[in-house]
Order: sequence, then C-alpha cells, then structure tokens
Amino acid sequence: MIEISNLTKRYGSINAIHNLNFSVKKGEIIGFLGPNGAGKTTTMKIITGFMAPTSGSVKIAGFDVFENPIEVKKRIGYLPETPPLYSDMLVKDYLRYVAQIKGLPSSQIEPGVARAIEKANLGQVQKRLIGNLSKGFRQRVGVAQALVHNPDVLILDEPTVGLDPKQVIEIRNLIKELSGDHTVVLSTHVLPEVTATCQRIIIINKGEIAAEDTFEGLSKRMTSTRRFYVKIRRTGDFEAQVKKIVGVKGIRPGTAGNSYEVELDKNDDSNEMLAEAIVKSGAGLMEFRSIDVSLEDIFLKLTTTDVAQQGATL
Amino acid sequence: MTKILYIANRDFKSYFTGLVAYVAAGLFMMLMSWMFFNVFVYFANNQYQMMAQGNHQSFSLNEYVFAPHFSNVNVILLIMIPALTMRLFAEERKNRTLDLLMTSPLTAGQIVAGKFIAGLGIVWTIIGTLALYPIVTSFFGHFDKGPILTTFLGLGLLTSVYVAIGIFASSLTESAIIAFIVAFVIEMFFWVIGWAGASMESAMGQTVFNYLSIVGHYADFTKGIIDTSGVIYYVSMAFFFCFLSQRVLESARWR
Repeated sequence: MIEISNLTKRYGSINAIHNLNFSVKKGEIIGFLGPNGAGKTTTMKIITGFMAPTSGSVKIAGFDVFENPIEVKKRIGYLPETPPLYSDMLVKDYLRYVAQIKGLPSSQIEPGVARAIEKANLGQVQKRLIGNLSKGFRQRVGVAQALVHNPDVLILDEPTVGLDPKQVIEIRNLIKELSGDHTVVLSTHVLPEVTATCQRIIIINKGEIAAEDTFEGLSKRMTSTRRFYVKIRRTGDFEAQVKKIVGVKGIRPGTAGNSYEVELDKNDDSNEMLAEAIVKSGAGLMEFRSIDVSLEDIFLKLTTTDVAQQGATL
Repeated sequence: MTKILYIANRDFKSYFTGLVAYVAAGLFMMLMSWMFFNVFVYFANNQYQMMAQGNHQSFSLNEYVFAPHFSNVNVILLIMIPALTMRLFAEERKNRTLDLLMTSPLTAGQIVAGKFIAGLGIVWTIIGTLALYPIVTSFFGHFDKGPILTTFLGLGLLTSVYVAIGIFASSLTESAIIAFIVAFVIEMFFWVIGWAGASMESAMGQTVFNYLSIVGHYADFTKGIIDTSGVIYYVSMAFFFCFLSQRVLESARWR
C-alpha cells in the first residue's frame, strides 16, 4: 500500500531523513518510533504530500505522491501533530467541510460524517463550537477528521497526545479496529502505545531506520542472554559463588539491598542450575524472576549514542 | 469547481461567525454616510447660491455628488480590504489548518480561487450597501443612471485587485498584521505610481505610469466611461496577484 524508497530530506545542510526504505502492506498497522527530532514528522509530511523530499519516492496504492498528488491525497487521512481545526466552526459542520474538500460525493457526505462522529465518539459534542472543546475532544475531532472520507491509508502523528488514560485506550482500540480495512501509520514516542496497537515497529533515529520488525522479533533479536533478578536474605560470598555456576555471564548488585541482577546464557539448563545453586548456598532466596526486555531497552539501545549505551546495558 | 465553492463558502461564513464582517460593514457605512452627507450639503449650498443669483442652470448630481462620493470610497477600500483579507491565509497558517488544505485533494489554484471568491464576496456585500445612496437620491432628484452603473462595474473590478493583493500578502506570512501592512504598501505603490507619471518628462513614461496607476482607471468608470484598457488592467492585475499567491502556496512544499 505504501512504498517508500530512498527517501531523503535535507533542510539546508541538515539531513532530516536519509535514505529511508520501507513498505507497508494493506491493512497493516505500523508504529513509527523515534526520539524527538528523529524525522518522524518529516517522513509523515512527505507521505501525505505536504512536503516534497529532496530525493527518493513515495508510492501510495501505486500512485506516486509527486506525480499524482490528487489521487494520493484522496486516499489519505492525515492527523498532523496539531489537529487542523477551525475554532469558529461546529464539530459537525467542520467534519462536513472536510468531507467536502476531500472530494467525497455529495450523497456520501452525511453518512461519512455520521460514521466519523460515531467512531471517534463525538456524539455529545457534535453541535458544539470547536473552540470551546477540551484538548481531548479536539484531538478526537482531529482523528474524526482523518477518518471522515474513509481513506485507505491513515497517517496519524502522535494521535493520543493530550488525552486522558481512558481516552487513550479508546483511541488505541479505535486504531486497532481500523486495521484490516485501513492501512495505518502512526508515530509516537510513547512506547507502550506501539506494543498495544502496532503489528510492526519501525524505529527511526537521526533520520535513518534503526530497526524494523515486530515487537517479538525485535526483542528476540536484541537479546542473546537472559537476565534474572535475585533477592536473598544473607549476602556472604554470594557473588563469588554464583560466578562459578556454568552459564552465568555476569552478576551485579541490583537496585534494592541484597539484590542482584544475574545475566545468563540463553538456555533452560542454566536457569535450573542457577536456581538450584542459590537454594543450596543457604543464602535464603527471597525472590527470583526473569527481567523482560522492554521496548524501552530496545529503543534506548537503538537510539542512544555509544557513550550513553554503556550506561544502558541490556 | 465545487471544491472551490466549498472553500469560498466556509471562508465567507467565517466572516459572520466573528465580528469582522459586522465591524467592517458598520464602520464603512458610517463613514460613507458621513461623506455622502458632506458632499450633498456642499452641492445643495452651491445650487442654492446659483439660484439666488438668478441662474437657473442646475448642477449635475452625477458630477457634483456621485463622482466625488465614489472617489472617496476608494480611499476607504484601500484600508478596509487588507483588513478583511489579511486573515485568509495567515490565520490558516497560524492555526495549522493550512495542513488540512494542503493534504486534501486540492490544487493550490483551487485553494486560492476559493479564498478569492470568499474575499470578493464579503467585499462586494459591503460595497453593495453603496447602492442605497443613488436609490434614495433618485426619489428626490434626477440624475443619469448610466455612470452609476459603470461606477459599480469599476468598483467591482477595483476591489477584485485589492482582494487579490490582500490574498497574496496573506499567503506570505502567518501574521495577520504583517499581511495587512504588506497589502497596504502594495496597494499604495500602485496608487502613487500615477503621481510619478505626472512628473515624467517623456510621453512614453507618462503613458506607462498612468496605465499602471490603480486610481486612474477607476476615475474613468466614475465618469461613465467603460474603458477596455481599464477592464483589462484590473482583470490582469487580479489574476497576476492570484497567480503569485498560487506560486507561494505551491512553494511551501519545497521549504
């Protein structure tokens, strides 16, 4: 559905994005993840035809964004960072206007508006002035605006910013519902959002793709070892004893008192041996659990510089 | 085409959801009425004096009332129109709603055309109130209707140039105040260019500067003359500034 090849955008001498290549299949939801200034918004602006790239091409449903902008724009719903709202319009009038300029045939305008209102859960505010709405509702009007012409592709730039936790869940569910019929690209720097909604993650850093995979794939790829959190009652020479066990790669004191983080080879035997050894040592085992690799860890590892990386060991 | 009208419709209506249209129309009518009153009183005094001297030849209402009155309009439009058009693009840029227009299946030309129609709509609505003066006067006096009609044609053309300049200025910036100032300066430039013509030595220079003057052509219309060169001048100026706005909008993609 979306094909991006060798996309580069330069602002003066600064490379905002450099040689991006990726594609999104129909019905997929992909999460675009990256620190501030990584080039997420720039990429999205280029996909929507708002901005021209320095070089490279973007194809949506087979149409090139720059040779056929009108065809492409008909198929895209875009929620920018700041929702494009006219504060002097009523919610319903605004959505009708968006439907009109998106080129929806007049017979489909009213149904389209009604559907967008229902999906974004705006029923109670549809007769209100946008300028008087709270931030959360404005954001939802922004989402409704992107949906109103039932586009094949949805580009959502940080769709849950400014929403309360309940609304965040609603919007995430809405986005999940949209998959299948719609192709969704959403950007965020809220990491749990990606695990909650996206089928595939693209991590972008300094304008280049740092990783592209499913969440499971990423966490598998990022780890050759496994980590355990161990808490004991009596330390003694615990550290030295553990180090002797086959398969233990390292041990370091954990955050709480009498606790350790033990790094192990990735096989089940060493798990068992470690557990057995600790119990036998008579140190008084209090707690023993594996530490999951979180998206934060992957994210940090992929996006931080070498200096910082030493602090953020995996 | 329908999309152009959708944009025009929204922008036209938004003049009325705020105070803009009411304030502009109110002030405009107040000023125009005051000016009309003065011109008319001056005319009546002169006429009275002539009659007191036993001269029964009457002054023409066209020449002594409507021509000066409608020339005065031009001065007010010079300020009023930039104030009405300054927000058309600047506001959209500032509120980021331009993003919506730019990512919708619209060409830059369609967006500019929509804005132009909306701006012209509000301006023509307001100057439409000027029709009241000849209508009311026609109950009491006799005057030639022809020059009044050509004046309105001239006003229509003149305002389309001012609106186009206003839109161009607005497309340049996200600050409405800057848009106002830029539009005013451009209008003033085409206003005073006629004065340069007067001080030119070569006949060629005079013709060129007179032709470029935005006021000169309008004066013809108030006298009841439809000069095709004036019509062409106004239409091409309006088109030129709309075209510039279209280029500015298009270029936003490359910045």
